[in-house]
Parts: sequence; C-alpha cells; structure tokens
Amino acid sequence: MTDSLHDLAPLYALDALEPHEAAEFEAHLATCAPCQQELRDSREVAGLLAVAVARTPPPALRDRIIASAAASAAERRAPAGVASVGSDGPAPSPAMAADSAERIDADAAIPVTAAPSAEPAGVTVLRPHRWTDSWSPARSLGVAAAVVLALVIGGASIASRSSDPDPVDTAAAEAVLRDPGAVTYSLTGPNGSTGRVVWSHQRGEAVLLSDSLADAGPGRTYQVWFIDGGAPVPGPVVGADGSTPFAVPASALPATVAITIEPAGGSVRPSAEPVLAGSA
Amino acid sequence: MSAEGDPTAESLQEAIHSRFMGAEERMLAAIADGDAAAFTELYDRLGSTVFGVVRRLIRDEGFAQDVVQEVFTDVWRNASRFDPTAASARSWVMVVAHRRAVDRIRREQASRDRDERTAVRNTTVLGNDQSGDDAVEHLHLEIERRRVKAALVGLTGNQREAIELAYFGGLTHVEVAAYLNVPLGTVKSRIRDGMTQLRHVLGVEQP
Repeated sequence: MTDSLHDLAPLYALDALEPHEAAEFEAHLATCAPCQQELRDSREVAGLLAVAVARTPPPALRDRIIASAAASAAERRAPAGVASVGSDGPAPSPAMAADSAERIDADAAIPVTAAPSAEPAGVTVLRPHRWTDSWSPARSLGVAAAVVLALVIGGASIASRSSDPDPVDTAAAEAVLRDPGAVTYSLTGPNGSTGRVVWSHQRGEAVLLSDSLADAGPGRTYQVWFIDGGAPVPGPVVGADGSTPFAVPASALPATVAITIEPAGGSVRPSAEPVLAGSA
Repeated sequence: MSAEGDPTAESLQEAIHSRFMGAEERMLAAIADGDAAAFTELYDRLGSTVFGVVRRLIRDEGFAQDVVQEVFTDVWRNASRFDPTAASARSWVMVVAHRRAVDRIRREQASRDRDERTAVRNTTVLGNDQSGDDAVEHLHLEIERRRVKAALVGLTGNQREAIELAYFGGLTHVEVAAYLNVPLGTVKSRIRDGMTQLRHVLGVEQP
C-alpha cells in the first residue's frame, strides 16, 4: 500500500479502518510514539464528538445497570472462598458475568511496554543543591530557592538508576505533585513529544515529567530554561540520564518553560531549538 | 519490570495520577476499588454520552440498551486498567462504547443488505435532528455540546460528512468512499484533515 501507517491514527480512533488495516496499524503503533500520541488526541476528539449527540437514557436502563453493579459489588465483598459464591450469596448478574472473550480494553492497542507512564520506576529526582553565583542570570528572577526536578524517562532510566550515586528523592517530587496550589506547564515538542512541569511556588520546587526524552547523547545534557518576555534564563542542567544535580531559582512563575539539549555543563544561552516548551 | 514492588516508585506514580485526575478519573479509580457509588456517579455523568452514541449507531432501542449495559459492565470490571496519564475517563469509556456498538452492527451487517443499512442511518449532528431535543441534565455537558457543534461547523461540509458517516454511521473509510462515490484517498484525507482541525479547535492536546 502506498499510504503511510503514520496517517491512520485518526481513522483508527473513529473505528473506521478495515480489519486488516486496523491490525497493521496496531502492530505499527507498538513502536511509534508519535502515532500513540496522535491516537490519544484523536480519541479525545472522538469522545468530544460523542458529547454532541448525548441523549438522556431511559431511567429503567439506569436502574438495571446500577443494580447489576451493586450485585457484583456485593459479590466482591463476600468472604473469599467457595461458600461465598454458593446459594447464600447474591445471584451473579448475567450482565456482570465475565465475558472475557468479548472484553474490549481501550488501552489494548497501546502496549504497556511502549507506554512509559506505566513505568513509575523511570523516575529520577534530582536533589536540590545550594544556589551558586555561577547561575548569575537567574538572579533576575528574584529570590532564589532550590528546585527539584524529577525527570521521568520511561523505562530507559530504570537500569541506570541502580548505579545512580544520588538516592532518588521521590518524596520531594511527591510533595510537589501533591501541592494543590502547584501550577502545571504543558510542554510540547516536535514529533508529538510532550512533558509537564509541575511548579509548587509554595515549596519553591518543580518537577519535570516527560516520557519523551531519550538519552541526550554523549557529551550532551538536557537543560531547563525560564522565559519571561526577555532572554531565556538558564535553569538546571539535567543529565542525559537525569542524574546530574543542579540548583535553580524559583520565584515568580515564568511564563514559559523550555527544555533544550546543550553541551555537557549547560549553556548561558540556548544553543538549539527546544525539544519541549510550553506555558502554564 | 523493575517497577513492580518498588514502594517509592508506586507512591510517586500515585502522586502523578492523583494530580492529573479530574472528577471522572477519580470515579474510575474508586470503581477500580469496587466503589458502587462512584459507579453510579460515573454513569450519571457519562451515561447520556454513551447512550447517545450507541443509539446513533444502533437503531434498535433494545439492542442499543444492551450495548450500553455491556459498556458499563466493561467499565465496572476493567476500571483498574484505566491509566489517567494516557487518556481522559470520557475518552477511555467512549473507546469501549464506540467499538462495542460498531462491532455489533458489523456483525449484523454480515446477514443484511449493506446499502439498506447505510441508507436508513441518519448521521447528521448539526441541524434539527433529535440530538438537540433531549433534555440534558448537566449544564457542563450542554456547554461542551455547543462547543463541539461550533467546531463541527468550522469544518468543510465534506470533512464533516466523512467524519460523521464514520463515527456516527459506523462505516469504515472504504464504506464511506463507496457511499459517497469518491476515491478512497479522498475520504482518508477528509477524515484526517477534519480530525486535525477539530483537535486544534477543541484544544485537545495531551496535557
């Protein structure tokens, strides 16, 4: 076929592919991150299209569905063992009876191994270090405070983490993520890559979450930038495997956060286009 | 994988999840724990959307209701598989709903005349059809519905028609092309371009 498999995500999301095309696309999807992203977005669109035709269902249907779930919940609560599914227990609802052959899993087409979000171990939290004068441009942001960056790199960094000299500070990242006042920056990059920076102003810490950042390459590193109208203010250098400690300022929330690949050690000015950038 | 059994990683993952979960996503998480009240809440939020789509695809009211029940059975049983970082709750549920309804009509189609099936299906979302006549209990749903309709108005007629025939008509792109009597590639482009524009207009991007 002359059509690229890359073009099929929107059609797949609408269930509009012929069966053999759907199978081909699913195989392709397993190894194509941009297509996985486009499928997710297309499915969100489809879900919104559905809203356009929403209709109130008959009350009897609601009663049936809810009663069925309640019966099933009662079964779950029943003590484990053969006795609980005997004549004393609630009759298993036909609707809730397992029918695994027909089960449809919305995630089925996106293999777990290719979905980095399923791998919490790919989290590396960089420990805060003291502010140093070498980051002088950052002074323009005002009061300095330590920022913790958690770099989530799918499964890629799992192996490297065990040899990481710095213990992983997941507690700091968790605290940021659980701060209800924290602000989220949505970052996007070329080829559908995405990331988020969650910034807790109260804690003076931020967390970078991205499953789109591969190894930066030999002698290269990721660097964070804060952009507020003027020139980009250099932020922390994030090692290729996310293991390099850093110090950055945190004060007023910058309008834009960007990530670039820089020579090891970082730059005072971005030397490349951002791999990720976005605003709150 | 090494993620298994690592309590700190699990706890951090949970923090990530809880941060990015809205009301419906939290309901799914509660359903995964067997919370029947959360299931009722989720049904009340998404039931009309599921029913609307399924009823579009399946003309027979009884069959449509069966499929809606199957969809929510799926939700009840598989909620633990939901990954809030990968999809919204609505998207996740609607993938199941649409596919189940489409599977049903495609099975039926084997024993029926294709053309008849296509001819009787009303796929138009805009205009004075039944979709606007039902009272929708939730205001946020009504606001969203208007937003989606406005986005659909922004498409070309050809794009809109192709997307509607596919999503609300349950046709494959090959069937859409045959129905409209246009080349296959043309239908693909119309669907792709239309979906791309909808993505932009509706502000859909993976957060």
